[in-house]
Amino acid sequence: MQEPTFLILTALATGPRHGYGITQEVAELSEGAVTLRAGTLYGALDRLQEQGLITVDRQEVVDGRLRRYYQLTDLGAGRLAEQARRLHKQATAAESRLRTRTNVAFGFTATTLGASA
Amino acid sequence: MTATGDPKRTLPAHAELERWYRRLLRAYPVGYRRAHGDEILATLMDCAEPGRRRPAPADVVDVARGAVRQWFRLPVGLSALAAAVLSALVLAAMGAAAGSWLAWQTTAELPSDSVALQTTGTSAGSPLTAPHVDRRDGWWVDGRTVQVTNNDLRGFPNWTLESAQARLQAEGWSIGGGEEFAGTRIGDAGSTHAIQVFVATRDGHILTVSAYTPVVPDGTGTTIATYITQAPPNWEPGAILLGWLLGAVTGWLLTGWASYRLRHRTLLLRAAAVVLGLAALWSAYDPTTDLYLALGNLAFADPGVVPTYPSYGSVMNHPRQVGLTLALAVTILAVAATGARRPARPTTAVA
Repeated sequence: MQEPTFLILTALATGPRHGYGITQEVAELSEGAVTLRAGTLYGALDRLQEQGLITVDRQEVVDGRLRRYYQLTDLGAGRLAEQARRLHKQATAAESRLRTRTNVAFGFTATTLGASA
Repeated sequence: MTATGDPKRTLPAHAELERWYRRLLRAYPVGYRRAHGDEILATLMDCAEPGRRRPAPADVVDVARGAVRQWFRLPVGLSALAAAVLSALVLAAMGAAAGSWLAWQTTAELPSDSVALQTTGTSAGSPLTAPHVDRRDGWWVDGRTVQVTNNDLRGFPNWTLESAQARLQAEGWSIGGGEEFAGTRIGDAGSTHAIQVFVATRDGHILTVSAYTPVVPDGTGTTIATYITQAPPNWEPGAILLGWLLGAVTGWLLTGWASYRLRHRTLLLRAAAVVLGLAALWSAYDPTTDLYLALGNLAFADPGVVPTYPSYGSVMNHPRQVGLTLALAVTILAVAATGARRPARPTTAVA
């Protein structure tokens, strides 16, 4: 699962959102690192809908503009949870290995340095 | 009119921006634009900073990229991808053949029978005594030729290759390569002949002269036969490439369109479409593989040898298969086009 897909599914985890709401949430979740533009966003939403990971919750017309709200399906929630577990496991493994990394310059390990600090 | 004299400036910024975005959204396929155009427009407008009158370049690129993706989009799954690739390859072959055919229609017409007879007479060194002209001509013919033989076994005494080439050169022909070998004349297996063949070109025509001289003198002279074809057009490779690309894109787009439409059809119709598709693939096998082999020969041919047979011939040699393939393809598209669409969700108006 690519990062924008993961972030879109995460943005929808708390409830239905429309296109602009998703872009705002994704920007916040990624701390500004990922900016989803409309062309990319709707391509991704279409693909996720086709895969059954999200679905249209409702449509509204606000100030003459159509807003379509998307929500996570059970399948999408399961896939997101699975990906989150995988990423968490990988991040834990990375942190664990970094702690035991030998500091070549000083002959210390990160754990030792961390403990002494 | 404003002080600047630009009527567009009378529009509020958001209205002008919206107009620009609507223009951009025209890049999307019509069906997709109908379903999602207003929604994408709302998001684009929401994301735009206040006061902006024209879309940001990054938005233009992003929308264009999204539109291209939608055009070439396929349903999820390997079967749709395989169908699209195979359709693209088959229609690309048809497109390449069409490009090749169009290129050959721009070549010089074959010489008339009288000119062909006169040219053969020049090659022989004297008027023909029993000429026979065999012409294969017309827009539907692959490899147009006019062949002249002199059905007089007495032949032409004292004929030499050098003198024949000199006479043709005097009439404006450029002499090309040739070869010499021993063999027998067609329809005359009784005696061995020295067979000399050479090529000459003039005004977009390629002349091949074949001379048959008895190895053991038997009182007969040299028999002459000529073969005039059209020189291949210089832009045939470009036309083939363009036709190939157009065919490939058409094949991909039609398969994508049909695949999405078929998802909403009954299982029976979908199964029928698969069977028809496999039949179309089977019928397209010979013309498609022949065309790719011909293109391979064209691409890797010895540069010294002038190819005189058009590439489209490899497809036109299989008229029934090509006709059947196209008929099956049209039937699949018809199956995909018929039937009801998925009902749209109701829209709720909010004050």
